[in-house]
Amino acid sequence: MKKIYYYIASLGALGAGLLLYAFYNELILVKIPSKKVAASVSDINVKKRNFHLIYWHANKWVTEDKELISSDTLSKTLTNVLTSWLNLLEEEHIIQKKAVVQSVMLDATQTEAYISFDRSFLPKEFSTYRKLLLIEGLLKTLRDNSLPITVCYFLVNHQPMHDQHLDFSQGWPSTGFLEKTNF
Amino acid sequence: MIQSIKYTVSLAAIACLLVSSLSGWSFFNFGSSQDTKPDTQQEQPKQRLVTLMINPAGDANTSGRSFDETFERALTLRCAQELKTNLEATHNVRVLLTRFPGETVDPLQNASFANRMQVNLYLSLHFYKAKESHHPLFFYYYSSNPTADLPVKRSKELVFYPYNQAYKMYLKESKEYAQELYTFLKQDEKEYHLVCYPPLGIACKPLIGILAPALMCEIGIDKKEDVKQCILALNSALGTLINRIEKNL
Repeated sequence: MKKIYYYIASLGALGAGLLLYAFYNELILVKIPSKKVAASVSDINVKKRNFHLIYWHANKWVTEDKELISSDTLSKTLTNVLTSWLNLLEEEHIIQKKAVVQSVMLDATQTEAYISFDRSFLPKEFSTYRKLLLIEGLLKTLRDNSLPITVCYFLVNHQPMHDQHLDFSQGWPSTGFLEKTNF
Repeated sequence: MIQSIKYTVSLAAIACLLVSSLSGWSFFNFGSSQDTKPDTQQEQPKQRLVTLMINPAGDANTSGRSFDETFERALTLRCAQELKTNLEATHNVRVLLTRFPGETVDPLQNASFANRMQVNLYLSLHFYKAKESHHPLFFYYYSSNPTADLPVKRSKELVFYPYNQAYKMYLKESKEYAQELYTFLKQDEKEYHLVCYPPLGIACKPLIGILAPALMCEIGIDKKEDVKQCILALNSALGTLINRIEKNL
């Protein structure tokens, strides 16, 4: 009689162990229906807006209009705009390797943006001037779309972006460096 | 009465001593290196050598941009070595190179070296691959914000500045020197097969932390043989600038 209890207890423990193992290794997924998630999704105010994407090509500034989702939160709008801008650069073969915007964070005043990419979008072989024009294109895009950003911090994997020629240890003014010149 | 006179005299003597010893603190003043120089500098003979520091881009760990058979680091080093030989032979100048072949350079090592040597001009040399028949030439000086960048006031008080604002000390001179080199080379750009672009103030990494007037020169070349032309152009332009700096010493 006692042996049966031992068998049942050990089998139960084995079963519980297997279930726990499957749960922790995500072999079993438990989804609890939540009303909050559904409510928050419906609350997001999504609008479509025409954005100007600007880049330097063939010795002139080129502007392309694109309809993008404009969110209530500035960081989401910035993420959408910058993602499209990077896609455009890749389509135009200005950059060879695509970079992805990981996240855009804003400071308390909502005027300084911390933009984190998964990799640097500045090709190593480019001249400093060409790299500068790439960055200026990004800043010009922010300015022309009236996005209220005054300083941009460029990051890669949430660390300051590394480049041999340009310094990203400090924020870049959204007015850019070419504003006063006639280029 | 006599005792009070004695006290007054001794107090005056102590005050004089204190003032003279405190005046030595101006040596540490960041903003007054031109206004109040240390005694050792003032006692130097008037005919001082101009000190030019050239930073050939790259090092043992950083090869830089690739050219057909070589890398940027080899071309910049060759250019810097030839400039050193030519300028030292023809001008009253001491040219220092920031690195030798096989050497690695740590971040801010060059800035520390230049600041300790109190150089008169710092030039960072860079090359990139460009297929144009005329080589594009750019001069840059450091600026973190072109609309709000103002040179710092050289006060006599002890002031601390972060290393990334060291450029503000000689920002005006950096701009002037860049403009002078550009103007000189613009006149003869056809002769040297160059296309000179007006100097720009940007956040350029090789110039961070340098107190002296500092410039970054970047030239686009197609083949490694094109470096010769660049050396000739830079040699004559730097020669003119060295003459100007020498006059102001």
